[in-house]
This record gives sequence, C-alpha cells and structure tokens, in this order.
Amino acid sequence: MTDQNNPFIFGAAVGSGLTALAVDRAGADFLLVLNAGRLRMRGASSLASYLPLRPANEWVFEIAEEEILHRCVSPVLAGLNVRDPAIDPIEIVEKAKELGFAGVCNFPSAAMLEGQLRHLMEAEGIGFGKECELIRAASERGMKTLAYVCTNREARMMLEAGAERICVVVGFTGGGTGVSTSLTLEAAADLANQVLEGIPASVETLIEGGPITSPEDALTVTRLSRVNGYIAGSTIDRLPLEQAIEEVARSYKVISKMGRGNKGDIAQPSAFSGSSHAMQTLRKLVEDIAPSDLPVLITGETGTGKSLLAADIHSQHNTSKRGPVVVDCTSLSHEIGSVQLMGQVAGLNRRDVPLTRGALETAHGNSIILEEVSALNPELQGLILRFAETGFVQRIGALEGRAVNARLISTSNRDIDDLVETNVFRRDLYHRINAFQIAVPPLRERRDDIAELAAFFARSLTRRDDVQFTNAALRVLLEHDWPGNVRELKNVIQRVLTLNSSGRVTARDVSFLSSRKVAEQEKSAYSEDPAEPANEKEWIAAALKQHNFRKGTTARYLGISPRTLYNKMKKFQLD
Amino acid sequence: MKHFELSGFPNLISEHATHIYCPTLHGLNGRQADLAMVMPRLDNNRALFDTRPTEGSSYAGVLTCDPFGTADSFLRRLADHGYVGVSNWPSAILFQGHTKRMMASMPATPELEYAWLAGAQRHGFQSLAFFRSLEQGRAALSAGLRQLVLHPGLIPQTTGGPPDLLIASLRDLIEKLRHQVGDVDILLYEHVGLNEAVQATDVGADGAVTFMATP
Repeated sequence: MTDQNNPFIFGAAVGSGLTALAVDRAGADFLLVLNAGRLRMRGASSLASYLPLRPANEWVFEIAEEEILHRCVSPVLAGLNVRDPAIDPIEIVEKAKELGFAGVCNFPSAAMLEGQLRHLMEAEGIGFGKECELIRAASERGMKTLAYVCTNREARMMLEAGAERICVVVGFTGGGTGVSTSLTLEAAADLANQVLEGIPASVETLIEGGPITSPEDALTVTRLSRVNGYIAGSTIDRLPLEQAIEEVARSYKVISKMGRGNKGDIAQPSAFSGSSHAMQTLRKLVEDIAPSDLPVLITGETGTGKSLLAADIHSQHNTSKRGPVVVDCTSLSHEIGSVQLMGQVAGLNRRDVPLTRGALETAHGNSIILEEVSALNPELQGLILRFAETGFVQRIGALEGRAVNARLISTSNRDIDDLVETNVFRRDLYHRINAFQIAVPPLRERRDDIAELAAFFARSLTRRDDVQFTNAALRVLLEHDWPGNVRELKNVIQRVLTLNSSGRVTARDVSFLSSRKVAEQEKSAYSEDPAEPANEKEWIAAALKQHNFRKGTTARYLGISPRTLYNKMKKFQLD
Repeated sequence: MKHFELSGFPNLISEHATHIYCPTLHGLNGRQADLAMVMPRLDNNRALFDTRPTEGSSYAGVLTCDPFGTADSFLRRLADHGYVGVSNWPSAILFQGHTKRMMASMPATPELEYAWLAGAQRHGFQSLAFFRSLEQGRAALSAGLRQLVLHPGLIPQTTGGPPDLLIASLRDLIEKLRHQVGDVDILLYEHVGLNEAVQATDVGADGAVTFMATP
C-alpha cells in the first residue's frame, strides 16, 4: 500500500505545446516529451511510436525546442530511442542536456516488446541493455532519469544504472484507444508490486497504461500497490481532447439549430457540471426529455443535486417562462397539506377563511416540482394521483374542479420501488409520476468530476478564477467517499476557502476529510454497536446523537441545510 | 531463377538482381534488418523519394501500415518517381505473441500488408510479398499475390552445421503453397544469419532475395 504521507506524483507524456502548457499550468510534477504524444495528436495510435515513421529523437528535440522547452515550469524529460546502432547513448544525452531538457527516459522502450524479436535486439546490442546505458549516462551527468520497465529484472537493471524514478508499464492504455487490455486494476496493482520487488523506497515508483484510464483508476492502483504516481499519456491528451472536441462540436450544431428556430431563445447552462461519462449520459437524457410534458421522477442520494436537476429540466422546457412551483413534501403537514396542494374556497368552515389557491393550481402552464415525493402521506398521494389522472384540481370545499396543465417533476432520495412493494407508496401514483426516471449517481461513482466540481465551486464562491488545488489536495478530495455528495463537496470547498484566502488549496486545508474518515473507520472497528445505519432515519439519528443534537453542526456534518435537517427530523419524528 | 537484393542503399546497381530499396535499412546488418519494423530511426516512406531509384527496375520497400496519407496518392508518387514494384518491408510478419496482438490493434498485420500490395498491383505495380508462415503465405495468396518471399524467421546467431530440419520445413511449406495455387513464384530470403547454409535451390524456391549491407 502507498504511504499516505508520500505525495502523489503525476507525470504527463505529451507531444505538443498545447498539451504541455495545459498540464504544466495544472501542476504536473514533470513532463515527458515522447514521439507517441505527437503521433496521438496526429490521430494515430501510441503504438506507432515504434514504427519507422520519423526519426524519434530528432522529432522529440524539434517538438520540445519549438513548443515546450523554456515555456513550462515543470521539469521536461526527453523520451529517447536507442534502438539503432547509429545512436550513441552518451551523445544523445549530452544533446538533450544542451537543449535544456531536465532529464531523459527510455522511450519507445524494448521493455514492451517480447519473444524472439526482443532476444535479437539484446543480442545485437540495441535492446534494453542499451537503454540502461542511456539512463546511466544521464544519471552521471546530473540529469533527471525515468525508466520504463515491465519486469522485475528490468527494474533492477535500471536501479543499477542509476534511475531515480521507475515507471511500471502495464501495457498500452486500454479504454477507448483501441488497445485491449485484460488486466483489472487489482491485477495491475499486483503486477506493479511484483515488478518493484526489491526496489528501495528511495526510488520513486510510478505506473502507466493498461486499465488505468482516469484519475480515480490511478488513485485506486496507488492505494492497492506501492507505486506513488501515475504517468498519463493518451488519458491526458487524446481521450479528454476527443471527448471535449466532440462535445463542443455537438454544441455548435445544437446552438445553430436553436438560432434558426428562435433567435430570442438563449441556451441556459446545465446545472450539472462534470465531464464524466455518467454526467454526459445524464445531460443527454435531460436534453432529450426536457422538451416533453411527461412527468419525470428523479432519484438519488441526498445531496446529489436532484432539486437542481428538476429546476434544470424546468428551465430547459421550451414553454417555461416563470420559475417552477416547488413543494417540499417533507414539510406538508397532515392537517393542512391538502389545502397547500389543492387550495380552498373562501369561507370554508369559518367566514374569515380567505380563498386560497393551492400549489397545483398555481403551477398552471408551468412545472410543479414535488421534492421528496415519497414523504407524501396516503391522503395527499390520493390527491396528487387524482390530479395526475384527470388534470383537474378541486379546491377544498369547491363543488367542481379546474383544469390545470402543469408538468409534474418529482424527486426522491428513497428507493420508491421498495416503498411501492411495502405499500407505503401507491403503485398507481408511482406509475403516473414516473414516465421518465433519472437516477442521479452519487459523487463517489463519478470521481472524475470531483476536481472539476471543486474548481467550479471555488470559482463561484470566490468569484476568482485563479484558485488552485495542489495534486495532494485533489488526491484527498478524490479519496473521500462523499456521503453528502455534491452538497458536501460544496460545503467543504466553502469551509476551506473561508479559512484560506491565499488562492492555493493544499492537502493540509482538506486534511480534516482524511481524519474524519479515519475516525469513522476507527469507530466502526471499535464501536460497541458497529452496525451501519440501515436507512436515512437511522443515519440522521446517529448523526444527531454524535453531535449532541446540535442541529447546525449535525446539518454541516450531513452536508444538508439546517432547514432540510429540521424537516427530516420532523418527518422521522426525531425531535 | 529470380534474384532480388534488399538494401538501404538507394543506388545499388547489379546486373543479375532487381533492387528493393528500403531506406530504413541503411546502416544495419542482416540481423538488425529484421528489427527494422520497430526502429523509429527515419521516415521510411518519405525517404523513398529523397533520391532517384535505379532506372526502370527498382522496387520500393514500403511501410504499408503507415497511418498517415492515402495509398492512392502514395502509389502515384512512387510511379512518378520511377519505381516499378513494391514490397512489404519493413514488415509485421515477424511479430509474435503479445507484440503481435498489440501491433494488430494499431493496426499492423501481414493481412493488411497483403491487401495494400494487392491494391498496388491494381495500380500497375509488381509486388513482392514477404511471409514467414504457412498461414501468412495462404493469406498472401488469398489476396491475389503471386510473387512471394519466404522469410526463414528470426535468426539471432549464425547456425553451425547443416540445417537439415530447417531446409525440410521450408521445402514442405513451399510445396503446400504451390499445391494450393500453381502459378505462384515463391522465393527464399537467404538470411545472412544462416551463413549461406540454406539457399533457394535447397528448398525448391523459384529465386532468392538477399540482403545487401550498405556499402
């Protein structure tokens, strides 16, 4: 397991000024200029780096000189090929040093080749042994060195040659790059440990390739193995670039269509940030269903942003001009809930009772958002069902109903299927409000978005766009499980930025998340009652007890507002 | 007997052999020439145009899995430049195991090389298809190629003594392919690693391709 005190090292294998400058600004610990990076930028596979397409070293020098060296703060290493009898490792290292490279690495390496081809290379003196000479030459000249290896023998050879960083290559990157990998993250971690056996802790160890295609994959492998860093290649340039370009290109098409339809319409940005696959899919779904009038049910854990999404669907509805009517179903009292929903006629029971329009009637020509619809009692469920079936609303005390045209958008953080099965929620109503269902994933299942969301909240809370998170700080954020989801993340960022206005968020600023996790682990390990809360009621009750029923502290701990906590306490009778 | 000479030297002149110019082989010995496919030392296909080939008879050794450009325009340039034939060298035929699977995803496979050569034939080029196994030979025949070169495989060191077993297996392989298609010329790559111990006549080949180190 990685020592948590060691900072996570992030290196980026690049092949263009654009990528290099971007990762440099993002705080990469070092850059590698590889011919593979350039080939990716030209739309080819990284594997083409082995082919006689260009003289690899001259190309790397040319790219770096023209686009990268002297423009980046991070150390820049040259990926050098020595699989050529005409190349002298000492000469090529000295050339790299003269040009201003901070170090070198062996790329494209013989380590990734195998079989008779590899044996022949070694027999001819142009294989991995010569790559060790390259690293030795650089080390002796005081340059930084990074060695790509695939086996323990190669790692030991490079250690002996003086490599200060060793990167275990677990195959070329899988995912969308066309190279298939059968390795799981666990198997990649095991492999890395085997390869690094006997390598002293003083050598920095990294991993690259195989099944690792995202920051959370990299984090998982560093947690499962002794490596303490990751080198991103196609995962830092081609994959995100292709994705971003596709999205932007699609946006141009969509916007141009809107422009043709109605020049007065302005596309509102989605409430849901994040470039993870899950959020892209969700945004596409919202885009598809928003224009219709059909009821939508949004499910997800507390803090995932169901209410924001409901409002987003409303705002994307092409007929919406007003804000939606929002009903917090947890706060509808048994006594007057029906009046709040349906309204009542004037003078009902008492002369001084005024005419009241209910929420449903108010939502005519608009959307009505039923927050936490599963909290509705059976009587109110019946009223909503009648409206959903007939489109009529009858004020309490009125003899006839009024036609109301309102779109139903409901949210629930409880498993409605379970509630239906146990007859707590009416099956007929469930089907009425559930023409479309959107499940919002918890933040821990879309860790790709954490860094992006953290930056978004930092910008929106401070109105500054220069707030930076160190790699170590982001690592802490990525490691946290976020039981309170996006709301909790927002609260954490708010807390951090309130206490630290320097514009640079470090691991220390967010270390309370790690200590909270440790405390929770210790508690679960040693508590007299180790059982996990079985449901939301128990979760809230446990949190209240833990914080001596101080509502403000408990709400912050749970990542919800005091008002929501109050409503939930009332609902679950925890007063 | 047909005779070709494979070399990284652009202007090889021989009365008895047709020259195959493959720029990336420049400066390599015969064993290292087998590694040319994984040596990013120059742009092989671009270098084919740097000098004029031997008048009217040269073949071009082409990296057929070059991911850039289009075959049609490249072949037009080759014809304009005076090449009369093409060959798949450097080649993916020597990849094995994991390396073979990895490179196939690029894609770089013998089958794609043969498809490229077949396309060149349609442009009027003569083609010479290197292959190493029965499977590859059959794939070349299926692609419509009728001038093949059997590579004996990677040979790290000069072998000593009469390689009877190797001769028998190469002869058997050639016979099987001839049995499949009658009108095919199958040449032998007389590998320098075999130290002239296995020659085209020994295995019943129709000719030979020899590697000529850069003078």
